[in-house]
Amino acid sequence: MIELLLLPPILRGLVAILAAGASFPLSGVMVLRLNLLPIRYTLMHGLILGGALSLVFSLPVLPTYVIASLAIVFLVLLIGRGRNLNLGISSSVLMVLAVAVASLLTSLSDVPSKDTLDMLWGSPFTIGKAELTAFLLLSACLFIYVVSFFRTISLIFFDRDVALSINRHIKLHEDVMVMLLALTVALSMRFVGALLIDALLIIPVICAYKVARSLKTLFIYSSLFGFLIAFLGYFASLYFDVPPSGAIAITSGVFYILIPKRKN
Amino acid sequence: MYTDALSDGHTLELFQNDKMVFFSSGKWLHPLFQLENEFPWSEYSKDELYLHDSISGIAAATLTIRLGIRHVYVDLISEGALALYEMHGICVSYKAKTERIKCVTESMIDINASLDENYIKLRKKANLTSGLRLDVEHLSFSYDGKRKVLDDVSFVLNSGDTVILEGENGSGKSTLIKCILSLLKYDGKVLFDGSVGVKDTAYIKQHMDLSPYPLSCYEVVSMALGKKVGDEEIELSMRRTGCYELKDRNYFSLSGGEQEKVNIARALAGKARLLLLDEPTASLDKESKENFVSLVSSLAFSEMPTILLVSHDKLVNDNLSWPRFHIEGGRLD
Repeated sequence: MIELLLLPPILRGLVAILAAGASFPLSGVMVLRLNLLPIRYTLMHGLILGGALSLVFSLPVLPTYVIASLAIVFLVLLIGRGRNLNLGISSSVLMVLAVAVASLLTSLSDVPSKDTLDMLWGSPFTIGKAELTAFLLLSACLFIYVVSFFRTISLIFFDRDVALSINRHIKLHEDVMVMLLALTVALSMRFVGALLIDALLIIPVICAYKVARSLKTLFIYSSLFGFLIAFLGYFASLYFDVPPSGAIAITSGVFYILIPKRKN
Repeated sequence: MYTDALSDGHTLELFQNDKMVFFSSGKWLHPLFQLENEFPWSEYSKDELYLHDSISGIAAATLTIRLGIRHVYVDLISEGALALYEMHGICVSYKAKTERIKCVTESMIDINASLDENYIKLRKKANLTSGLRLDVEHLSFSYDGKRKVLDDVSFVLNSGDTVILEGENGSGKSTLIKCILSLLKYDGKVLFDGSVGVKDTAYIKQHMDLSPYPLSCYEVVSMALGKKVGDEEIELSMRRTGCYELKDRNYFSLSGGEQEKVNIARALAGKARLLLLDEPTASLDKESKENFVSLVSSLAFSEMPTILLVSHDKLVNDNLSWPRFHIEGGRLD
């Protein structure tokens, strides 16, 4: 198996998946605390549109995903932002519209729907140098953002009215967190695909909920579990010669079952 | 000897037996406030302390008595001050006596009021409060543009004022707080120390609408602070509200009373000058309510922030005995 790691695509995949495993759960904490699950679903469906656009117009995959994600987030915030960050309705509308447009596009341009859906599975072995750089940059951004603005993030998670009353740039931070989520989902597509994104984004955080006693340790455990899930899942896929996305998802499930809940 | 003439320029001297341990050259009541804040009281027994003051009217007597000093010598004392000292069993002597000291503070003091009430008046007069002035001018609000939830509400809270806002459910109390905080768009004007824009304010809500998640009490107190505020300040705030031992506990595992202590520690750590407390005792038991009253009372004396407390809890309102605003149908009585 060591020889396999010497192959550049395998090595690049390993580096990218470890970086993503350690950093993407940070975005997962934001998803759970800010109740961004609806917008995450919309992003996943929006990536079907991104995939369709990429196929129909022969555009590079990752930049198309990123642009599609950011555009969807922008629209969700534009339509849905009220006093509360309740984006459920605008997310639902855009989710349906994104899939509808993707369906029409592939139908009108004679691209087989199956090709679009195949893009949803992702694979770390196909990552190029530019994509790897993008992964590492996003990972660094997530870590830097959480460390630099930990107290502000804590405040927003705690209570939005209390946060707004302290008069920080709360709405700006919310937008930054949603944008980071959009980028995380777009890049996760290349690893584990849209259908198994939660294996890296959410499940490590749910595991961390079982053992963390503070928000700080929730971030730390989420990152640690994400790293271990990515590491073990990746090597399991190499060892058993199975798709990495499936191996990583199964590993995350095993983690969830095996990690005991800490008693208060 | 404390009855000897004051040294040149001194207006107040404090002795431990024959040794001078503090002096001030300040005017008016400032030497006494200076003494209160700067003297290391815990290192001395108050029975060994002797005060020599240049002039003492009722106001100075009030402050001196509150300090707990038992032996006082005054160069010029008013009859009212002499009576007040004697009423509190202070051993007082003087060089000269006058009917009245010509100072505006003499008429401020109500001799029948408690020392604490008069003390607060004097702190406010001396601008020794940490609170900010809040002006609410012609504030109106409606959710649908038709029925007004708040109708032309106007009031002023001066620095250090403590007020209870009471009214029935649905009368607009919480809406008023949200308008003051600019969480709702309103007609009218709200000024913080004369300028627009929420500042130096802590908001403590009745319901936090939160699902439990890993969050330590220490994190709740520190979240309102900038990165530069260190552990010492946070620890001090938590100790002052008696919640330091809870610092590593999960906030959501605490009782309602303990959560309030942590929330107030958050306000203290954030150096809030205006506290807006929206029914903070609504879900507390009797003992926790009494503890809450004790906590905000001591805060009102020590820091003297401006406090607007929304409450229709009889136990709390009666125990605090603060001035009250009553709101009904969106209008302030």
